[in-house]
Amino acid sequence: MPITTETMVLNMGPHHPSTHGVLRFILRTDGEVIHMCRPDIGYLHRGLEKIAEQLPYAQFMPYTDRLDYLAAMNCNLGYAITVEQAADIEVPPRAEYIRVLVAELNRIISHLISVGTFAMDIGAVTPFTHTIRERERVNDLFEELCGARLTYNYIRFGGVVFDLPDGFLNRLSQFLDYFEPRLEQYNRFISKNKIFKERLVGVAVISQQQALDYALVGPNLRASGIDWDLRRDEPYSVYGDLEFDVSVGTSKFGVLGDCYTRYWVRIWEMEQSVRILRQCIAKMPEGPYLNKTKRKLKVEPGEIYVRTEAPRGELGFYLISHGGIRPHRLRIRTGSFSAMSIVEELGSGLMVADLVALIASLDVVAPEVDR
Amino acid sequence: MENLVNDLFGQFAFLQKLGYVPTAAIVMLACGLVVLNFFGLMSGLFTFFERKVAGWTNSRRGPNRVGPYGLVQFMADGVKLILKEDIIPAAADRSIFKFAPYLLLLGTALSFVVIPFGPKWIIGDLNVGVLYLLATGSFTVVGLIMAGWASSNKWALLGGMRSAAQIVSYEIPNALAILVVVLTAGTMSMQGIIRAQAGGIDHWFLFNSPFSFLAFFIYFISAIAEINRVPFDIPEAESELVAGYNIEYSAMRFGVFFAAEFGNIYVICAVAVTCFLGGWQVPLLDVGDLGPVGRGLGNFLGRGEVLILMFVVALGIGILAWKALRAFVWDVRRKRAFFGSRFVRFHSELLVLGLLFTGGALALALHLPLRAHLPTIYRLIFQYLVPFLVFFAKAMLLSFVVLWWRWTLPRLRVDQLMGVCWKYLIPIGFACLVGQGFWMWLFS
Repeated sequence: MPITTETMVLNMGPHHPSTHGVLRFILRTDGEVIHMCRPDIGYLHRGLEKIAEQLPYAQFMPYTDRLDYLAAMNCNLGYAITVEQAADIEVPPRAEYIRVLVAELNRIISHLISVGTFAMDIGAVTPFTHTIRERERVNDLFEELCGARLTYNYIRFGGVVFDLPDGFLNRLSQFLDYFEPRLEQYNRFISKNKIFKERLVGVAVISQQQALDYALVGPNLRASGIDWDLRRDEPYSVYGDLEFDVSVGTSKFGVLGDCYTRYWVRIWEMEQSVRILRQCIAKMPEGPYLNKTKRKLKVEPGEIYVRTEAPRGELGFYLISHGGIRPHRLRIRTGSFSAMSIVEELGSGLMVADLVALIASLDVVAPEVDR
Repeated sequence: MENLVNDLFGQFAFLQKLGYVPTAAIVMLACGLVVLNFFGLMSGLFTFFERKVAGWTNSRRGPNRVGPYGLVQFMADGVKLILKEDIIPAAADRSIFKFAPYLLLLGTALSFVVIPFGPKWIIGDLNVGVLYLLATGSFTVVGLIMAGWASSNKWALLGGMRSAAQIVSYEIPNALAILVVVLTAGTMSMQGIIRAQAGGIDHWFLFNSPFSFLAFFIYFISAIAEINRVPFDIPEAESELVAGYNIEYSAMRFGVFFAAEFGNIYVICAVAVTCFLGGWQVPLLDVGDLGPVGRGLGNFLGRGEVLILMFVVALGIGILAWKALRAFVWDVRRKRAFFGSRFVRFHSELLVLGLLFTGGALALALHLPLRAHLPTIYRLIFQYLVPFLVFFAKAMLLSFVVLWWRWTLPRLRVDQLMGVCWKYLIPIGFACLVGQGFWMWLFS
């Protein structure tokens, strides 16, 4: 009698510890090996794009906080730049620097969460508590700045809502001095751990072609060896005046485009963000921080697509205005969404534990996928 | 058991009138009670210990609310688990589902039968002790598979499957490493193995030969894999299988799983201490006998003028220590941290000296009337208390390593786990066994 095995349908999520929010994967597995993996999204769909059509431009700003709650500043920034370009609003230089400063600070804490949960999904619990500890200090800084610790609602059309408090830049550079050695500590602790490497090197490799085909963005794209960063290639705000390197994955640590490279790209990006922050502190100009706009902002009829580099890749806002105080249509393009689409192709053939590593390495945030 | 009963006969004449069988029955019951309670206490304390270690590594505090320093936290947890609703899924195989945790517990509790607490303090010094340990360890896998299957949950089933593959595989290197010890000691009895390591640290089997040195690490790694601890915790991998085999368990059945798991930590560390680290053997001190040091100390303390002098000194320091102790209690009542407390900062040397001298004074006060029984008391201390403390200290030191790994290392994937076992540990284990044979043939 021939030995046959039956495949089993395994429902991973929506409530699963490693699906980072409310995601669901329908797996068809043969024991531990996945034959088919289908992501099922939409559990966190809140209709943000539809809500945008009902609200005046300024009132949609708090909703962008909820777009990617780990990088609320970057989402604020993307939306603000979109409306400013559509309505021709000038931004004072001090506000521009403050914006870049908070965006990079938010990139650091977003990557900290990413790195920490990555380690936790691989089974090491402690790095997460350490990265959270550092994030807490940045949250304190943000709280000083705008009173909120998670959903900041800090950036306004034409500037930022509050000026930097007294001594903020000092405390920020204190944090950076404290934080930079920590990165090396994480590397000693988890990044260079033998088991961690064994689990990630060569797992779920995304080739350059695949990355382009699936329109991957941000760190996931760069980990596949594609040198593309909007901050450098299409500079917005004051990124053009700042010096930084784009962190592109190499095959030095493993296979180009595997989970391990994606992990390292985030570590390197944190280093670069620290570099940008130091320049921002040095170059911070004096002057007004907000260019007051009209309470009921009207945008001329037309279309505009603006993309910015958020921690999870390009965050695009496609705005159609028919005049008036509300957008006719606001389409949001997020990095996590395209990252989710590649899971189905990469998933088959992996083991369940590898799938967990893959999801963690793509750094998917559920509210950003569903919007 | 026989030793213990005969010992008791020697101590207490009235037991002899009772006869051997009733005495043995009473002793058995008492032993069972003591062991189960010890087991419960150990697993409880291990939950506390683990959470404290987790706190240290995670840069937080760990439990510190219930009782002094959070020590009673595990009892609160236990009470909570007992009071919670015991949910059995509708689709579960009820009888197997209910029985599985107890089978797991049985495997762990049975191991305590052959774990020595001292030279005369062991429930059953079986002549096949080590073999028995390996056998009881296999109960675990049956319990886990039953739990995984009966839950009628695919994640639990995957967990059960993984644990079956893992535990069955890792039993081989585990047994191979222990065989090295059996070969060296020439006996399988736990006490026999410990006695074979008498005479100082260099006689421990850890340092017997390069092969036994390697065997210790093989044993330790495979034992950690057998009790499903990180980095080999794939049967209950939280981020992959949610909770693995115990996903559907709630209330005290869940608690029983964890009691067994934490009890197992002590078991594997105790076995490692027994087989490789000299068990209850105290370095530089022959436990079986008082030795010249003990006898000399006894004679010196027996002199009248020494007694009186020490008594006077002890009284003075005792008064100071009493004051210090009150300050200490004051701090504890206000839940100050121990090391930062006022008392420790100002009176730590007083506490140590005072407790030492108060104890000394008490001992001396009892010394005169008990002079006739002195050899018995010393014997009790040196044959029961000191070896137990030594054994326990060694085991706790090892289990700290287990907990430390738990909070430091990531988890292996299931195929890598099998690879470690079959490609590395088993061949090295066989090499150790053969190598140890040659070593013994060459050097003895």
